[in-house]
Formats: sequence, structure tokens, C-alpha cells
Amino acid sequence: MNLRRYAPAAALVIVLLTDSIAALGASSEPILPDWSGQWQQVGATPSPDGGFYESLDQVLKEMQWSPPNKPAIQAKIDKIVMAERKEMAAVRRGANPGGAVRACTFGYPALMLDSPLMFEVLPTPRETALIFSSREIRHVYTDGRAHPGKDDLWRTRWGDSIGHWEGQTLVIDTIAIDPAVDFLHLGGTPVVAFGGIEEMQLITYLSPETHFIERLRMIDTNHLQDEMTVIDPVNFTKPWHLTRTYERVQAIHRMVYEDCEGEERNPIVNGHFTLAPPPSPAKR
Amino acid sequence: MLAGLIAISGPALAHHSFTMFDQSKTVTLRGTIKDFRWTNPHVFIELLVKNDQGNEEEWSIEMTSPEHLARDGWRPGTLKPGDKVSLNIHPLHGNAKGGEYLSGTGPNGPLLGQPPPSEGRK
Repeated sequence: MNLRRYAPAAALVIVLLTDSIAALGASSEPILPDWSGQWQQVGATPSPDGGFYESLDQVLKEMQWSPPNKPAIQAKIDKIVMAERKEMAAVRRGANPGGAVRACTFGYPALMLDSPLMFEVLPTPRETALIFSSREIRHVYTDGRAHPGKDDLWRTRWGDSIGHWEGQTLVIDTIAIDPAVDFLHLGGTPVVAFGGIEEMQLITYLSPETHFIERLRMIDTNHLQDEMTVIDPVNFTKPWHLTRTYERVQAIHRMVYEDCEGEERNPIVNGHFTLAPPPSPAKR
Repeated sequence: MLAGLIAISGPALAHHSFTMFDQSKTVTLRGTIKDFRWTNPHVFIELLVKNDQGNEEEWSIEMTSPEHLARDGWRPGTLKPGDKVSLNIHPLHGNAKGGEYLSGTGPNGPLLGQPPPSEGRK
């Protein structure tokens, strides 16, 4: 065998191997967990009529609904709650509900705190994406970047999220939530968390200064858990800690999406919601 | 439920509204499936029910979204035309033939899904 003939190729292999080994040794990329599959919030599995199999007591307990509101904020909420309670009671007696809009997205933090949606989590070395069946996506950048600077940042319904891995726990830091439009609570327009009998029980205000810290991890093979701390130096007296657990979806093993942009099924006629069933397939 | 309408009453916003249904009444309908319409944003059961005069009337029963139903184990083929079923519903206010699905029994026993909520977290 003419060894000299193979020497250049052998040298190249050695160089490549050496580079690869060096790269492996120098890599700071985390070993990412496998969170594949679909997830849904425990206790939020919808029933065939769109409701949930929970009592008010269960909901309040599960929601850990004890925002540490400053007195002025709490007074504001109490006033809204009382007015809303009267209105909703009238609606239940058949009164005009006063208009309707479509609710196609949830925004943050509702996606994590009170979502009837399923979602997938896709960890990659530089970003983890949380993809919800409302077609909303949370992008959590884990490449070491900071939040955008003041002149490069504006509030959105999903905020700005960066994160890092602590072992198999994803720590997420979120700011810049848009207080004007989110439903659970944010800033200028207080909006209730749920329909149903408990709708007035679960509101609070968050200021634009609110900062969220989450610790997302798998607690066993079928459960993810999110420990969230809500820090609002303007409206709260102290940080608010909440925990949500998500279970594997068992009845379907692929992502399917909500589609509420389509046909109207509940038009308002003479001030009341009505039914407008879809036409039969033969007529479509 | 995510999809569909939500009622705005004053400053408040709920996920959706089923205020057109009389939540204080539960009616059991026994009839024959005309159509199981697996459509967005909501799924509908079209049910043929004989009235007191023996005439068939068509009822429209609204369910939640396909995504939600799929997670409860429902599929587009769960109900087929001609199936004999018994459905528990909250009827529409007034006399219109429609309602909100709660639970039911199909040709092979109880339909998928869990018992109706005793209190409505919607």
C-alpha cells in the first residue's frame, strides 16, 4: 500500500475530526428536553358544549386567584365586578347582551394561565417556540440576547420573551405586554377571565411595567408545569405567584387548529344571539 | 370555548356567549341524525325529532369547535345520518328549534365526552 498516496486524505480526516471534537468540547449548547406531543392545561379540557367540568370553587382554587392589588386597584375592580354582575344576571334572563365580537386569539399571559387550547413546545438551541391551536406562537429566544432597548421595543399582545436553560428547566422572561387589548386583565381595559358564573371573580389590572418570569419544566412524563411570577411594581403590593400544569392530550396526536374566522354561527337578531347552522355539505 | 362569539357587557369580555340558550332548562330530544356538520367555528348536529303531532321537525344543536371536540375524542364520523340518538340540550330562548349540546346517547351507548357541567365555566 502506498501510504503517501492516502496521506492528504488522512490528514483531512484528522483535521475534521479534531475540529469536531474541539467543537463538541467547546459547545455551550444545552441538552434540550423532549417535550414533543400536544399539551393542554389541566382542568381546562373543554366539554362538547364548550364549557368546562368545573365548579366555581374549583376554578377559583385552581386559578390561585389572589392578585396582590393595591387598595386603589382593588376598589376599582370591586366596582366593575358589581356592575358586571348585575349586567350578566340580566343577560341570563334574556336581556340584550349588548353586542358581540369574535375572540380568535388569547394573548399572553392568558395563553399560559387560562387557555382552553392545546399547544406544542419546540425547543431548539437558540429559541423555543410554543405553538397554540389558536395559531398564536410564543417565541422565547435563548441565544443570550437581551430584550430590545427602549427605543426598539413596543408592547404587543404576546410581549417580548427571552430565556435560558437551567438544566431541563426553561426560564422565560417576558415584558412589553400590550395593556390595551389583552383579556385577562391588563392595564386600561379590565376584562374578565371567563364566561360563566365566575366571570366577575377573575379580573385584575396589570400596568405596562409588568414583568413576568416563568419556569417551564416537565414534572413527569405526562405533565409540564409553569411556575409564573408576575411582578407589577405599579399595581401590586408584592409579586404574584401562580402555577399551571399541562397534561398530554390523549385523544388526538396531531395539532389541529381553531378556525373562528369563518362563517357566522351566532348572528344577533333583534338584539339576541341566534343560531345559524352551517348548510348541509351538499349545498356548500 | 375559543371560537365564535363573545359577549361584551359593559367593559367585560368573556370567551364566548351562549346567552341565547336557556341555561335553566334541560331538554331531552330523541330523534334521528340528519347531519353531523363538522364545521368551523362550531360543530352542529342536525336532528330530526317527531313532535306531538307525529310530524318531523329539524333541530339544530350547537356544539363547540372541532379542535375542542377532537380532544374529547369526537371525530367527524362519530355520528352518521340515520343514527338514532338521545340528546340533552339547553334549548334556545323562545320557540325556535335549537339548543346547546350537553350530553347524549348514541347507537352504541353514551356519546363521547363527559357529563355536562353542573356550573358553567364556559
